[in-house]
Amino acid sequence: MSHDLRDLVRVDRLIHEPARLMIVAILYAVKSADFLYLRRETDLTKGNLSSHLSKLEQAGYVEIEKTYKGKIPLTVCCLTETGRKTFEEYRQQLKKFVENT
Amino acid sequence: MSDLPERAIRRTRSYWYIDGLAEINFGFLLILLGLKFFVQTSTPPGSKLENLLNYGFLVIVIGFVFTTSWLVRVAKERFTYPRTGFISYRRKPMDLRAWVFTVLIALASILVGSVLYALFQVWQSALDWLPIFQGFFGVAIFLPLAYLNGLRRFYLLAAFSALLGILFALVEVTGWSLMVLYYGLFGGGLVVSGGITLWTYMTQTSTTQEESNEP
Repeated sequence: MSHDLRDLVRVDRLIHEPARLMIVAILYAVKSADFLYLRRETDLTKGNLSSHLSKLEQAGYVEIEKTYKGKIPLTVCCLTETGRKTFEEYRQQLKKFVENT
Repeated sequence: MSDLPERAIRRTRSYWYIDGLAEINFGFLLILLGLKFFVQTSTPPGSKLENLLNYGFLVIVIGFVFTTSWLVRVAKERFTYPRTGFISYRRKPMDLRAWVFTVLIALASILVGSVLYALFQVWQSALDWLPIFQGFFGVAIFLPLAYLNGLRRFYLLAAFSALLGILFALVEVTGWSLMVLYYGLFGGGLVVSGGITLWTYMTQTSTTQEESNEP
């Protein structure tokens, strides 16, 4: 196996999944985003999005806070420092692989 | 797949402009500037009003910016976030490199402004080029914004600003008239662009019960 393919095989599989990659990329660009924004941007169903967010939260990449804005419930998500660093590494690996192909 | 994260990041960063409110805000600020120049042309030199316009205008602008920024935030909370969701942007602390860059840009702006001023003093026919420089103002703001955020309408706004500059150069509009017309028209263009964007956004989105914020 070539060196580049070996690097690609080592990417974080949790982030590499397209739906989770979208979620993490969106959260990387901001301080926090609510559930409604993530749902509209990823076009995932509520259940799907919840499931992906749970996996990211269990891995320590995302923090989820359930709060209220007035009387309206609000679920706000943000990337942890671990999640941010892991995504940055992922981007570097992918960029290196694409450049060398 | 490789550019999926980049596209998502870019799209998220441009969310601030989705409803056109920022453009409407900036447009009204430019119209205010145009109004200031218009009033100044009909003000007797040395009058109290002229002094107020010269020395007090900065205070008026700062007050306007704070008020309208607050209004934009309130409007977003009322109309935008319930429709398409809420995001909070990161504020990166300025490191030494960012501070050095900011100071260099400020110094370069002062240098360019001084050189242009000296040029216009010495070379009167250079004033004919003033409208082109004025048109460049809008290009300098909206072209980078268009590229960074991938928003086509910002390319159109940059082109509109350049077109105004060229038009005023061709019909030889300079001095206060140039300032009044440029800021009035470009500001008006921004308000129209922002208004169309807001109308499109409001008609294409809704705050239905399905769009709830709970998983």
